[in-house]
Amino acid sequence: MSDHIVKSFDDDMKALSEELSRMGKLVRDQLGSAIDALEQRNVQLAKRVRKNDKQVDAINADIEERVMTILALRNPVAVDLRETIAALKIARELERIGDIAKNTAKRTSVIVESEPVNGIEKLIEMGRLATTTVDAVFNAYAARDVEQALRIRISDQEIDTYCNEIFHIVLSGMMTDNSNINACSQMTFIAKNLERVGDQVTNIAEAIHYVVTGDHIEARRPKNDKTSSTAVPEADND
Amino acid sequence: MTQLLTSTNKVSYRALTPELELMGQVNVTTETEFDNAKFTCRDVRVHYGSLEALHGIDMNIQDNGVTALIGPSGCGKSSFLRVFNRMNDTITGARVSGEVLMDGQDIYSNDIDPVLLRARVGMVFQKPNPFPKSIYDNVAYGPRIHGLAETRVELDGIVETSLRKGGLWEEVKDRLDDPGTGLSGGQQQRLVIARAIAVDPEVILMDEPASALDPIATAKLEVLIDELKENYCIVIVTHSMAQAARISQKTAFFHMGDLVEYGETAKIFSNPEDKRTQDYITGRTG
Repeated sequence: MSDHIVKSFDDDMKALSEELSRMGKLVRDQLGSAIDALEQRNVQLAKRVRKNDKQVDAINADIEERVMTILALRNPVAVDLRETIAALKIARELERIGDIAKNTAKRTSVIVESEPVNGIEKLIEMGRLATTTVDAVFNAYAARDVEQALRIRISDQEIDTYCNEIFHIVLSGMMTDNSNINACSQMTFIAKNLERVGDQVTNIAEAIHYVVTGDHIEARRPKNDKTSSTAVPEADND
Repeated sequence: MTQLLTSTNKVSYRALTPELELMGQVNVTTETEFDNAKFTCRDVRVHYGSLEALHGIDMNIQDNGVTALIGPSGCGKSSFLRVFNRMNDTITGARVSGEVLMDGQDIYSNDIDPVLLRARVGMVFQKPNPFPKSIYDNVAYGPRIHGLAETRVELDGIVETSLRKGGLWEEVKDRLDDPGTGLSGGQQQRLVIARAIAVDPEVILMDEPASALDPIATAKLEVLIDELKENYCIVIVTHSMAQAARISQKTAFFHMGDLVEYGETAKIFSNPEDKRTQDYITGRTG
C-alpha cells in the first residue's frame, strides 16, 4: 500500500493498527494466564488476570477514541475506511475475549476449592487451543493474511468439538458424584465461554477478510457446538 | 420546449465495452445498465489541437439522478462534462469525436442547433456568473429569448417557479428588482441554477459548483441538487470527494484521459476495484 500524501494520516492509521496489535497480544496473554491459573490451581495468578482486565478495557477505550478522531478528522474512504471500522469491530471482540479470560479466572477460584475432577485436562487443552487461535488470528491481522484468516475461521469446529466432549464428561461426573457439582458447573461455564472465544476469533477473521478484500464472507461457516441440545447421559438412551 | 428527440432505450453500458473490460481498461464495478440512460457515449475523444485529452470514453449517464465525475486536475473530467452541451465547440482548437446520444439522438449531428441544445442541457460553473441585471431579469432572460412566455403574468409565473425550484424564492421574493450581483455567493449560485431551470432543461451540468461557497451555502446547494435530481439528469464535476459521496448515485473516476472506474457511488467509496481509484480517493501518492 502506497503512502498517503498527508503523512500524519499514515501515522494515525499506523498507530491505530499498532494499538490493536498491542491489545491482541495483551488479550492473548490474559487468556493464556487464565488457563495457566486453572492448570496450576494458582489463585494468585487468577487474581492478577482479573486485575489486568482493566488494562484491556483501557486500550479498548483508547482505540475507540482513535477511531472517532480518524473518522472526524480524516474522512477515511475505501481501504482506510475499512481499516478504521474493522479496528473498532476487532477491538470489541478482543474486549469480550478479555472479559472471558477474567471470568475464567474468577471461576478458577471456585474450582480450586474442590479436588480436581474429570474433564479438567480436556478443558485445559481446550483453553490452550483457544489461546493459540487468538494468537494465530492476530498474526493473520498483522500480515493482513486472508488465507490464514479463512483457515482459522474454519478451524473453529475443533473448539466446538472440545466443548461438546467436556459437556459429556462433566455431566457424567456430576451424575456419579454430586459433591463436585460446584466445580463441575463452573467448568461447563468455562467451556461454553471458551467456545464463544472461538466465535469471536471467527468474527475477527471475517473482519480481516473484509479489510483486505472489501467483501463480506457470505457462505455459512461450519459450526459444531451441540451443547445447547446436550442432556445428562441417561437421557441419551431414551 | 420542443422535444428534439424522443425514444429512451434501455442501453447496456456493459454491452458497449466488452473489449475494454477484457483489456482491463475499464472496471464496471456494478451493473451500470440503466432503464433510463439519458446519455450514451461511445468512443468519445476530445482533442485540443494535437493533444488528445480524452481517449475514447464509453459511458452511459442515468436520467433523474446525480452522476459525479471525479479525478485529478487534467484528467479530462471537465472536457467530458462540456461534451454534453457542446461547450467544447466554443473553445478554439477543441475537437470532439465519437458518438454522444441524448435520448438516442446524436447531439453532434448537423441538424442539432447548439443553442437549443444548451437550453435543454443547462450548465452551472465554479464561479457564479449572474448577468449584471436584476434578479428577475436574470431568471427571465432565457424564457424571453426563447419566447417561452406570451404574457407578463406568464413570465412572472416562470420566474417564481424557477426561483422556488432553485431554493431562492423565499430569500429574494421581496427584492426581485435588486441586482443579481448583489446577492451572496451561495445565493448567486442558486440564482444561476434558477436561471438554468427557467428554460425548462432536461439536464443540468455543474462544474465545481460549490468550490467557491462556504459550508452553509454548500449544504443548501447540495440539498437543492438532491431535490432537483427527481426531475433532472445532473452531471457534476467536483474535487470534493466528500461532496461526490454525499450527493451522487453514480461516480466515474477519470485519470489521464481515461475512464478508469464507474459504478455505484457507495461501492466506489467503500471498495473501489482499481488501485488508481483507491489511491486517488484515499489521498495516496500512487
